[in-house]
Amino acid sequence: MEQTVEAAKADSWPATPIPERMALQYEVEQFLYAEAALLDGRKFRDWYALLASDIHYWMPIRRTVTSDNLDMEFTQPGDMAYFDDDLTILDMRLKKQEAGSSWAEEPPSRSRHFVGNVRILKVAGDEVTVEVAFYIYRSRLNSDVDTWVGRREDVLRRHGDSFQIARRHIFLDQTVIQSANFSTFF
Amino acid sequence: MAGQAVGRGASPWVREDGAQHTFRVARDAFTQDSILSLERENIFDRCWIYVGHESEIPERNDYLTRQVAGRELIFNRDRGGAVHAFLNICPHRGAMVAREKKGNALGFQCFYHGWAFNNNGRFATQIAEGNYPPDFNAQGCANLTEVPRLESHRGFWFVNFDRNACGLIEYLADAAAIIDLVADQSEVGMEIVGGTQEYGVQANWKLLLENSFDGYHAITTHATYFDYLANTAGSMTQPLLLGDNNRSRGVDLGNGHGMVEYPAPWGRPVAQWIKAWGEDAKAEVEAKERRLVELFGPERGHRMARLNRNMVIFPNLVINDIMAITVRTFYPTTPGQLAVNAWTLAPKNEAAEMRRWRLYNFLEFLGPGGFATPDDVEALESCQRAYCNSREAGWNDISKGMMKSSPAADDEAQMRSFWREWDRRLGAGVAP
Repeated sequence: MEQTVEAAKADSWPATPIPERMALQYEVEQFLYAEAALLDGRKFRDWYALLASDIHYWMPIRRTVTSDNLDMEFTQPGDMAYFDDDLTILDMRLKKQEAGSSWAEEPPSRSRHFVGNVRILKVAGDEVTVEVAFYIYRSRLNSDVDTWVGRREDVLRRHGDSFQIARRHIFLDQTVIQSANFSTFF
Repeated sequence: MAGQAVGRGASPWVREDGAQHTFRVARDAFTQDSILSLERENIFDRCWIYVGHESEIPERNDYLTRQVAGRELIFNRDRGGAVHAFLNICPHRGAMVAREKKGNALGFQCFYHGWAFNNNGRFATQIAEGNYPPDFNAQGCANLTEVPRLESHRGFWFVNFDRNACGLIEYLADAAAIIDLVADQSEVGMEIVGGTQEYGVQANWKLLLENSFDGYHAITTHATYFDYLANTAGSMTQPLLLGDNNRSRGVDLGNGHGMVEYPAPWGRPVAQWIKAWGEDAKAEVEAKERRLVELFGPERGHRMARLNRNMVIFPNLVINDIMAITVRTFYPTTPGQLAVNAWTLAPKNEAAEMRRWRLYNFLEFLGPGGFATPDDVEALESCQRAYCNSREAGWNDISKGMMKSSPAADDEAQMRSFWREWDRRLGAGVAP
């Protein structure tokens, strides 16, 4: 689940010449910034259009463990999670918001997605595995503020002259969820 | 808070008028520090409080740590496999002896001064001679402190901090048989599926309690969820029949426990098939129902397969046997804040495909990322926020269905049974 440094090294990507790496890095970053702008601009259907038909949108549960039990830190696929979505469920999430009676988002919240520490871990065929650190600020109603910080592992797949999101695995830096809900996309 | 008048009809917090068919609860009961103090003393320190399921510590030496009724506890199995619940505090100077969520270990060691304990709680440090008298631990003062009472029913373990409390089975009253309807869904036992959802809500704990078996709010609060089911081909078997007095009911289970029971409009892995699951699953789900009928007779078998039950065990355990089984407990941190632990329970031998649908059902509906829980939380926080108006608008209404001899699942009889017990226990604390 966690992309190891060893696995990244085994890949030929780090040996690729710098100009080529810079070009892809730029392309990936611009895509991620544009994606974040769609979410923060409430253009959810445009955001949805960026998702691949086989997307896995997953947020496992994290818990405090001792350093010799770090392999138990996150729940695994098939265990409990917060999100374990395919494209159909993501579509329904949007339909729920669009219905106007999704009370956790009606009135809608205000969000800002910060995406940083963008690292390309692997390039294989038409897929790029990208790790990012995220910081999401959300305010709701008059004064409710939530922030979520964590790591994301995305697989971006070439799609025309842009990308589609084929995988989004979200690893929060929180164990007990401090927010009232996750009605925002990560 | 005027506390001198105690007893039915004279409570400062619960006003029941049988002649007028009205039942009202003071909104101050959700906001006052003095009430929370009374609740801690008279409810959480005296009632049976859920600590965990046996499947969470399946092996010898397994342990987990958990906040239960305001305490930090260790829930574990010792080297012989016996189950314990210890207060997670070093007998020496009081540091927590386990600070991680779970693990497997022969014992615990406090990192502060190094005191060590066998996982049956016995002090296990060799003390250099001359520092303490030879019989220092004769009375057990250097052992971990066990909770005063620990008992289980069908794999559900409960603690009680009142040594003189009645036994668990007597306490559970009619709720024990409803737990059985869950426990009997597998012939090889039920298990908590790995992982605990933990989240906080800015609302009084009793708001979540009411919401957990409130049939009345389903259609309005969860409109989008039912739209979703209706618009997803093959997801619904029939309309939601919460208000049908012949087919749904709200039940007082004794000692403040209560439930609503109603025909499931959606698929149940045990055991109501829906088209969305495909033909392969059909044979399996139907076989499951036939087996239940074979084991328990047609009435109980079909009831287990096709009826939903949302149950609250007084004061803070929810077992909702719905599109998946959710086990949920919560505890107030302040009058306006609560901490939730939520799990899903499933048959141990469940086929991988059904397990996948079960988790799908759970995550779709429940938890901070579900289709329903965020809307519930929104409602609870909205109530809590507005209770600042309680001086001028001081009473919640819980009268629905009081005139009926057999209340339906969208009536409020089950909530009234909770409030009567709550009031009785708090009144007992105020009376001389």
